[in-house]
Amino acid sequence: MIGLERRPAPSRFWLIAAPLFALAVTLAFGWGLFHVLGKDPVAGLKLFLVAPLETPHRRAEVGLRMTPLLLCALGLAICYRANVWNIGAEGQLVAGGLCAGVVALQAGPATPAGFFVLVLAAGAAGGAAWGGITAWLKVSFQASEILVSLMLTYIAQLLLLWAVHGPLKDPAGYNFPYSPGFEAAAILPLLWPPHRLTIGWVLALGLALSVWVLLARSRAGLKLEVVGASAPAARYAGFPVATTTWLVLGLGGALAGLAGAIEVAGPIQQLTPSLSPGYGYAAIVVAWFGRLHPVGCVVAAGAMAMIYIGGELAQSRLGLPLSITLVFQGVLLLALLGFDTLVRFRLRPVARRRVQAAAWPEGSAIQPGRTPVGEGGEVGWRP
Amino acid sequence: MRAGRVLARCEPARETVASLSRLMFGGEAGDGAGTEAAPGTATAPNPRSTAPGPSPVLEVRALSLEAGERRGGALDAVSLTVDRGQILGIAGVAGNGQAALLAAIVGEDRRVAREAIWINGRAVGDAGVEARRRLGLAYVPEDRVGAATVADFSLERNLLLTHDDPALFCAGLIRRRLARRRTAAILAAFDVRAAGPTAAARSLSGGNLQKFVVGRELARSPSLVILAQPTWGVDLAAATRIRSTLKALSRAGAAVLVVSEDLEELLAMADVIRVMKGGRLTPPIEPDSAREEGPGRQDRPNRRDRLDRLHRLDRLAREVTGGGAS
Repeated sequence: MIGLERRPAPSRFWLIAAPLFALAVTLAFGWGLFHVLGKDPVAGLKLFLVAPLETPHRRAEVGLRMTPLLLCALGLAICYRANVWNIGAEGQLVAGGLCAGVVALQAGPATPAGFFVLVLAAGAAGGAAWGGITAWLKVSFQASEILVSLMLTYIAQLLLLWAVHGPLKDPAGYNFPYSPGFEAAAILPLLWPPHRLTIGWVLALGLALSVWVLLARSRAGLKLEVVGASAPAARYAGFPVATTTWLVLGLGGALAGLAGAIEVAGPIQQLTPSLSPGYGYAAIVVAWFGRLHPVGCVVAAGAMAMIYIGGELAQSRLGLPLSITLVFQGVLLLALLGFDTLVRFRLRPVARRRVQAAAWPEGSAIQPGRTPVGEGGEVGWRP
Repeated sequence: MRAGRVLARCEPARETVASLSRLMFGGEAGDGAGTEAAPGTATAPNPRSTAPGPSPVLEVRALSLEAGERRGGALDAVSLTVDRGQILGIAGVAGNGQAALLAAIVGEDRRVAREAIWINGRAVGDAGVEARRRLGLAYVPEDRVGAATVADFSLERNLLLTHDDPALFCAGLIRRRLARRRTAAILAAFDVRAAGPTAAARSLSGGNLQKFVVGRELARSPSLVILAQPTWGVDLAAATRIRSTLKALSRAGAAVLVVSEDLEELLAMADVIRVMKGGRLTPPIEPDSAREEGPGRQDRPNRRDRLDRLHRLDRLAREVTGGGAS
């Protein structure tokens, strides 16, 4: 029998190695999947690993995809470090995109250039407000932020649907659920014409740097990490938990909302029923894959963007369904969570413990035949 | 055995705690020897505390609290004062309201009325932890791993839990080099065995972590120091050092409140001892002979006043256990 033994201190090696091992497991899984589906595994994996970076156009597309992933992941990393389990980046992205769209639609042909700054600000404000609802419910009613933020995603999505089917629908749009296209002033400048990559990418990288400084160097960052690490220590130091909850959900929401605004004012250029192919959910994987560190998130967002592009290529080249992207995301997250166990625990052979029936009193919570779990810092499991 | 070598063999019956500790620590732990070791950082009191004033540094006025959800034990009309230069010891069996009293004094319990607690002449019952810290309060809690430090943080980052003076920040950003220097100074002054300022708090032994926490709090030059079980699990040399530093600090004008279950420790340090039982405080008991030795008193040698000390211990123990012990 192999047991898990708690390490005296988290392993720095596994902290870095876990994502790499998870990636290896995902690739091995992909190999097997392509093989079972009767496709050439080498060609299949090449679509994910090499093809997305082959041409300038695809490189620009990777940058385009990683922008919302990175922004959402940064917001989630802030929340997770403060022990606030925000699952609703997708909803905050949609709420931000909707607000940004409403502002963008106010622009006319005569609107001065630079109006897009207002569009982005509206997106951030909308996302922050959406995150604020979760903070309010958590602080005032001790509601679980996991459920609340997840459920609010559906509400945000339905609000968007209502908007594009109702008040914001393009009167000249043949009754399709789309808003009118935005005026040029509301659209983000391109970074690298003619590719679709916008200045949003630069903004996201700059914000990654800012979040890094916030977390590593500022007192606010220290406070939110203390609150996340230990409630008694936060009480002792006088760092208020409620304020921190407001702060991280507000910031996380603002970053996700900004991602929505960049999507709306960048590649989409109008409001549509679907603003995001699940960027907000994929960002959860990105945040963990990036070790909740802003620099790690940049790398992970790039990798995740490649999975998105690779999935689309697999669809067009190999005739595989687009959900292969989701399959890879899921396998990656599961493998990562598995390997993450090794950050805090190590594998160790344990002698099978003989449990005397008489040792356990009648009605005891721990009954003979079952391994006592967690006793002496060990968690037993039988392979 | 010291530093990997057997230094002496001795007959247990013929040795005293003091003589053994001298062997163990090379003379550092001899009674009173640690007094000189009090670091410069800790002995300079806050300017606030040296200003003459009629009011005590800490005053609790008829504080009554229902048993809280987190910190068990109710308080029943607790009043106390700690003056400049005074060490007040609170004895008692754990769970008689000490934790509730401490939480109320340091500001972790926010149910307290404004007029119930006064620090340096200001009513602070409704103020937060940070506000009271700025008035010169320093707190060394009983729980040094869970509360006083964050286990996964470096010592340097743990310093910033309570060090929040403007010098440490520049435009809202932490001045890391200064934080590191300060942490290193604390490690040196209190002889903390750690790999350095960047070592994780988790990597220190309990005693060394306690030395760090005490050092961190005293380095802020507080005018009021609150300690819970200050020398629990701390080796003899470190315990002596902590006690002598506290005494030096109180001589320099700070007020000190020590909550401890260790009667010997309270008798050795405190000017006044009060016993807490069932949420109430007994009237002050003065360790009489401590008075006779004057302001420069030190831990007495083992052979002196033994009978007297045992007698007083017995009296205190009976207070603590409710008069049942005889």
